[in-house]
Amino acid sequence: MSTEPLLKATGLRVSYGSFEVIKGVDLSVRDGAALAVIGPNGAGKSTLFKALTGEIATHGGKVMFRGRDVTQMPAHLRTAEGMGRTFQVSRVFQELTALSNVIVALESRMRCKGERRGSWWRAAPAPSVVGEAEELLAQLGIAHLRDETAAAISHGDRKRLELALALALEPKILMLDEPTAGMAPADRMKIVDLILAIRREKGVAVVMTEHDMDVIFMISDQVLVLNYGEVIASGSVEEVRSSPIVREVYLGKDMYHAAG
Amino acid sequence: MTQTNIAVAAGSHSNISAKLLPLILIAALIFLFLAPHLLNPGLLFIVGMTLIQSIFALSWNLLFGFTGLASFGHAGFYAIGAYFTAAALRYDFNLPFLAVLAIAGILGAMIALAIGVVALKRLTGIFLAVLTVALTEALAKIIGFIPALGEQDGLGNFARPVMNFGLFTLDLTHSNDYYRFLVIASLLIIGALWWVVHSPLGRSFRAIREDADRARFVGIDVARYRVISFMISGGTAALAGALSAPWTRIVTLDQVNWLASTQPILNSLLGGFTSFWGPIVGAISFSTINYWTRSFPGLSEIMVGGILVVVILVAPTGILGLTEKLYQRVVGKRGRA
Repeated sequence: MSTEPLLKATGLRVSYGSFEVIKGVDLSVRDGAALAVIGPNGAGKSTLFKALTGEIATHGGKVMFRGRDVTQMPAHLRTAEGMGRTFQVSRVFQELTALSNVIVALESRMRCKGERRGSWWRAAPAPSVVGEAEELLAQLGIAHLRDETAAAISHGDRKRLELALALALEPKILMLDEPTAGMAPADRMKIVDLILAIRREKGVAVVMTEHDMDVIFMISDQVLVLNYGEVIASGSVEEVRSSPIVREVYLGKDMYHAAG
Repeated sequence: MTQTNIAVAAGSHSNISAKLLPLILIAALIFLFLAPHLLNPGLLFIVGMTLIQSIFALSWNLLFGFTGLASFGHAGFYAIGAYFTAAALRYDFNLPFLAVLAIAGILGAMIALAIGVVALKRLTGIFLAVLTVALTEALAKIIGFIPALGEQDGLGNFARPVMNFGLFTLDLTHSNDYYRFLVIASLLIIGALWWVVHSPLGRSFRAIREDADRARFVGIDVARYRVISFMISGGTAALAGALSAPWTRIVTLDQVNWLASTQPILNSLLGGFTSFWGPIVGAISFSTINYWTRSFPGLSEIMVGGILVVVILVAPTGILGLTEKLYQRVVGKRGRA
């Protein structure tokens, strides 16, 4: 509809105390696009992520989401606006069952969007909500874990459950902080397939940080390279891959590492 | 292998609660309504106080067990309800008794709201714990200086209420009559709390307890829901206090001190804070211990202290958690044999 990007940051600055971690970063993500933020350890990827999602405050610049200035908007409202996110170390509601986890997220969405939830006196979740939760679990391939407490399920399945939580809010954009961190190569490819399927079916945009180059090249169409809080290169996957400065700073050693 | 074990454990968990709970509840109901005919007045008084302590402990555990916030000054809310009701009866506020109860509850909730708004961003962890202790101590000092509230001697010398419904009146002056009213009111409050815990509201509370950041990122306004939980908890504690005043017929500063604040905590931990029913089990256990050890001054404190050490070391999930564990061990053995 509009030509305006879905998510746009201009001159974003973040500091921890007097130490500036993000030094004026610009980025923009179009509807349905996928942007990977890469860079060496300590480049500020996670901090940039936290600033975009509202987990930490910025001290300069602007974040626009769906045409609105969300720089001062608290995290829960950004989530309600359609910004879904996952954490580097997957975080779910440990003591709740997988199903209850998703139900909490669905009920939160209904509250945010003012959807009717049926009879107010009814304490148990509405059958339609339970049905939707089961459907989401099935889509993410963890339907069999329905009644397991989240603490008891495996690392990979917990990542899937966390994705289910994010998807329950019907996001326009998914912010994935290292979606395959700490996983075995085979599991990584399964998560990649899952993210690709989500993009295909729901048309959500993706912003992700990631260390694994294979994962980045399979999922994203744009790459932003961060070093010491500054953007040193950005463009399509091919452009960034062939950029000499990027090779020098980052890709060179890590790509050999990944290949070896 | 482990997967199936977990599934079995999860299955049996719901089984034991689902099978036994209705039976226990029905037995408890029959006992509560027959108690005036079965027990002498002294014992009946203890049963009534156990009901009140149960509500008080449930209110605390809504905060701790279900929202992940600890208040160490919950007696403040209880005292607000108790003193307000005592004053209303003593000085004849000319209000229907139900309105007195309602105002007491709303008063508790409003004070919780005020504390919550002031401490909104930090309504968590040690900050809330210290703040509630300090405010409750301040409240005790203030009451101690107000002659109309009996200063150090407490506020007594008032009659139990007579409820006027226009067409008929309910005279609660006799202790048996007030007891029946107390049972019905307690059941309604417990039912309402059960509903809160099992409703979408309660699920949001639990999500916040589990991981406040994750809750934020499924769109839950964490600060707001913490305040709501604090308000319900404070209001319910005030209601427990309000119901207690006509039962004890004297309200004293003993109900505002630090020790009184620990009572709902001990009850919840002893019974099991992870279960909705835990605080009630704890309150019943404490009353029983106190009754059995009543002729040995000091013994009850030693037993309570000892039991708490055992609870913390052996069964952090309290009596209910321990029962569940033992049951599963028995079932597990039978399964293997």
